[in-house]
Amino acid sequence: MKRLSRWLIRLYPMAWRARYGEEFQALLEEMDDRPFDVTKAALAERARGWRVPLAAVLGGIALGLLYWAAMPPVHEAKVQMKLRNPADARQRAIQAFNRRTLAETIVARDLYLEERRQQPMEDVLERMRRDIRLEVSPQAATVGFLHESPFVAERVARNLADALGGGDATETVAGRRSAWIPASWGGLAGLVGSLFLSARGRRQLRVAGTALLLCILASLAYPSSYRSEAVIRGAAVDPEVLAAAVASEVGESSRLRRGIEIEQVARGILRIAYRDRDRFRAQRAVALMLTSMDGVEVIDQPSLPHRTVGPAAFGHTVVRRLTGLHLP
Amino acid sequence: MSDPTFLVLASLAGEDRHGYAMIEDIARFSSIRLGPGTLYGAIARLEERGWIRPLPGDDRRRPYTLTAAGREEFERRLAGLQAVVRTGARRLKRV
Repeated sequence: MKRLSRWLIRLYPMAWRARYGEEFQALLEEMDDRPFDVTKAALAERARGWRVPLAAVLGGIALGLLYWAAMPPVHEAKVQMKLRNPADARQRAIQAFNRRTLAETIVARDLYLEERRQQPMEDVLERMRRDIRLEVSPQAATVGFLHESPFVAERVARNLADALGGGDATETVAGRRSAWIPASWGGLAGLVGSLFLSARGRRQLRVAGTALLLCILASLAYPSSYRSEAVIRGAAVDPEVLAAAVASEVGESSRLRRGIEIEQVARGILRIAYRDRDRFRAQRAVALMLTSMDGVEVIDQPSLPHRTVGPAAFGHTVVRRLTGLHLP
Repeated sequence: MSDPTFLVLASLAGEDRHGYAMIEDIARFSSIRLGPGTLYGAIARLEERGWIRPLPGDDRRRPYTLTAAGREEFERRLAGLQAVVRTGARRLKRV
């Protein structure tokens, strides 16, 4: 077995071997075999230079590219449109990509079958929103959609472009998604790994890891809250009227006013949201706010949130990912 | 306290030693048995900083000795440790 440690001396940089190789070998001959210790020390010695970090980064990039090549390809289809009225493109996109339209597209195109079996529709819709790309320039807009099949990606992108309307589709392009994301993650993992090997990096990583753990624990200790939201088009909203409407559901309190959120997402389009520890009460509160308003068009009905928001969401996501436990 | 460079300095403060003798000596006074890779990682760092230097050996094994700078560094670290020990002992007595 001592042969293994002696063979592992080759892992040390050549300059180190020239200086310490002979006496190190003499020491190994006198001791029990410690291959793990020798490997760790040799890699740490190498990581002090630039070759190992560089090789680790390149190796990580190569692994990232291999992962990209091995995974089912993701295609991005883009429909370019000349806009007649570019000013209100984003406004129309919010209207066009409302939950009902997206849910209809999901069902009609048989999208996200696996996710639909395991997750509530709200989460599937969020996933679809992440797969939609919208770029607006002064004269044109590009609507894109990501999918494993280039044909499905193209059809859905065209559907979305049709729903957006108000422009002439000029070109549809579908291509495999670029590999730079897995490659850069691989490279980063290689860099972190090589830093961990070197004594300096290990201390920094320990500090960073502890800070991250404290953040997770602090976020888990933070009270959970759910955010229900609706999108409307209409006149300006009076927060006092909304607060009065919600008060009938949750009672008058300082938390009530903090829970109400009004955000202008495009010209004439508002997102009205309410945060509460009870997700059903959050939804009811938003519904009450909508009924208290006159002359508004509801683009998206109040959502029933399934996941927490705010600091607690961070801790819940980490624990959910690591353990597979279902947390709110 | 368990920093390998500190343990090597402590071992060489007594007398000049080669690698294996250092491992045995450190195991005796601290109950920590350094691995050969860890020991030579510490030796390389200490030599790089000029705190120890090799002496000519009679065979493949090479003894090391503390330099004046190494002795100074060891005294500085020891003084810090003694302050901690004194404070800890004083506080324990108070309890």
